[in-house]
Amino acid sequence: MDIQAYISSGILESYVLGELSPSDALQVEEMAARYPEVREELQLIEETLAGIAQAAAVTPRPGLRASILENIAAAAPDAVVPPAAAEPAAAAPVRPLQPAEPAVLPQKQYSWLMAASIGLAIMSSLAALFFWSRWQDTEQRLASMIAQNAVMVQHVSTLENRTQGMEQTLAVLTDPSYKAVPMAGLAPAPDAQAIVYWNPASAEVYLNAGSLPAAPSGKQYQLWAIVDGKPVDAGIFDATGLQLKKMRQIQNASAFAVTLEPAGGSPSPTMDQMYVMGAAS
Amino acid sequence: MRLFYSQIFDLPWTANSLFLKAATPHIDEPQLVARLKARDKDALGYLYDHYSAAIYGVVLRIVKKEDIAEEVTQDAFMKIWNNIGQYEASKARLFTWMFNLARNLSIDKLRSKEIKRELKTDAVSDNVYSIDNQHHNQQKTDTIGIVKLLEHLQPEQQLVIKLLYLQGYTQSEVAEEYGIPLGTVKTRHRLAMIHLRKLVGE
Repeated sequence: MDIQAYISSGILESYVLGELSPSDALQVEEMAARYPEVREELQLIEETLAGIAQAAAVTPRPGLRASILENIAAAAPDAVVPPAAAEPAAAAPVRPLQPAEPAVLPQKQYSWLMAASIGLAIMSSLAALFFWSRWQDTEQRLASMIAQNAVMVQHVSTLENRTQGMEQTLAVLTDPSYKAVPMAGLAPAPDAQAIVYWNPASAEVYLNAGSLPAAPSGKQYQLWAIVDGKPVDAGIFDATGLQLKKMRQIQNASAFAVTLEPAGGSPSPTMDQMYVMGAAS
Repeated sequence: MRLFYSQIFDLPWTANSLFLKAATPHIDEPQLVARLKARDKDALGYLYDHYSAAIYGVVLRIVKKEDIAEEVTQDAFMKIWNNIGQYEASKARLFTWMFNLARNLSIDKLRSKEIKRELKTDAVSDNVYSIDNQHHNQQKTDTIGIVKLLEHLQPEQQLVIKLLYLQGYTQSEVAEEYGIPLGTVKTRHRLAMIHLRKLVGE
C-alpha cells in the first residue's frame, strides 16, 4: 500500500474530525499502529486542530467554572450507593420453618433469569451497535451521493441552457426565410464585423455580435435599423458570447447599424460612434 | 503562536489557555487522564483551567448565543467527566476527543432548537468573527488570533476551515451547501491543515 497516497487522501483529517464510519476509523487505527508515518501525520493534524481551537479560544465568564464544577460534584454519585434495605424483619421467623433445599431453588431460578436477561441485553446491544454502524455508513454514503447529485444537476442545467441556445441559433441559420445581413467595420473599429439575421416576413431580428470589441464599462452597443431613411431602435446588447441574440422586431429595413451608447441605450444613434453597418437589400 | 499571544495581549485570563500554563503546576496528559479516570476532582479543575477557553470558543462559535454556549460547555464537561473511562489515548489526544465531544454536543443543541438552517445561511465570515463584538467588556477574547491565523490561507481554504472547525459543518455538508465537489472540499481541507501546521507549530 502506498502510505503517502493514503495520507494525502485526506482520510486522516476526516478521522480526526470524527467523520469516518466505524469500519473506516478502525482501518485508520490499524494503519497508525502499523506505520509510523501515519502516526506522525495524525499527531500533526491533531496539533493543528488544537492550534486552531486555541486561536479561536474565548474565555468564558469567570463564574462558569464554579458552576460547572459544583454541578458535576452534585451529580456525580461518588459515594457508593448503599445496598438495598435489608428484608423486613418479619420474614425472618418464617425461614427456620422452611426446609433447606426449597430455599435454594428460587435463588437458582433467579440467577438463571439474571443470566438470560444479561445475555439478551448483550445481544440487543450488539445488534444495536451493528445497525448503528450500518446506519452511519449509509448516512455518509447518502450525503456524498446528494453532494454529487447536486453537482450533476448543475452541470445538466448549464448544458441544457447551452443546448437550447444552440438549437435556436441553428434554427435561425437554417431557416431560408432569414436573410443574413453582414455589417462591416467603420471608423472606431475598422476590423469589426457583425451579422444580423432578419426575417422580412415575420419581422424577427437576431444578432451575431461577431468580432465587435467588448464594450467599455458604462457603455452598451445598440442595434439600429434604417427604415424609410430613419434610424429605428432595435435593442441594446453586449458583445459577448457566440449565441444569436434576439432583438426587436423590424419591418421594411433597408440597412442595419450598430453604435456604442451609454448603458441602457439612446433614443437616437450617436453617429460618430457607429461601429458596423450593412445594407439589408 | 505562543510568542504572538504573549506579545500582543496581556490578558487576565490567559492562564486558562491551552499553551500558556502559568499558575498551576504542569500535569502531563497521561497523568491527567489517569487522575480523571480515578475520579480526582482536582484534576477536573485543572482540566477546566487549561481547556475551557478552547472548548467554550468552539461551542460559542457554533451555537452563537452565550447562554446556550455556557449550557453546552457545562454539558461537555459533565460528559467528559462521566465518559473519561471510554477515552482511549491510543486513538486520539485528549483535546481531540474533547473537541469532537463538545462540537457534537453543540451541533445536537442546534438541531434540537431547529435554528440550524437559519444560522447556517448567514454570511459565514461575519458569524465567525462577530462573536467578539458582542462580548462583555471584561471578557477579552483571543479571536484576533483566529482572524490573523486564517488570513494566511487562500479564501477558499479559509472558508473550509471556518465551516469545519468553527461552524460545526461536516465535509459533506460543506460540499452540499456550497456546491463544491466533496473531493475538492477534502483537498482544500488538507492543504489548509498543512499550511496551518507550520503556523501553529511551536
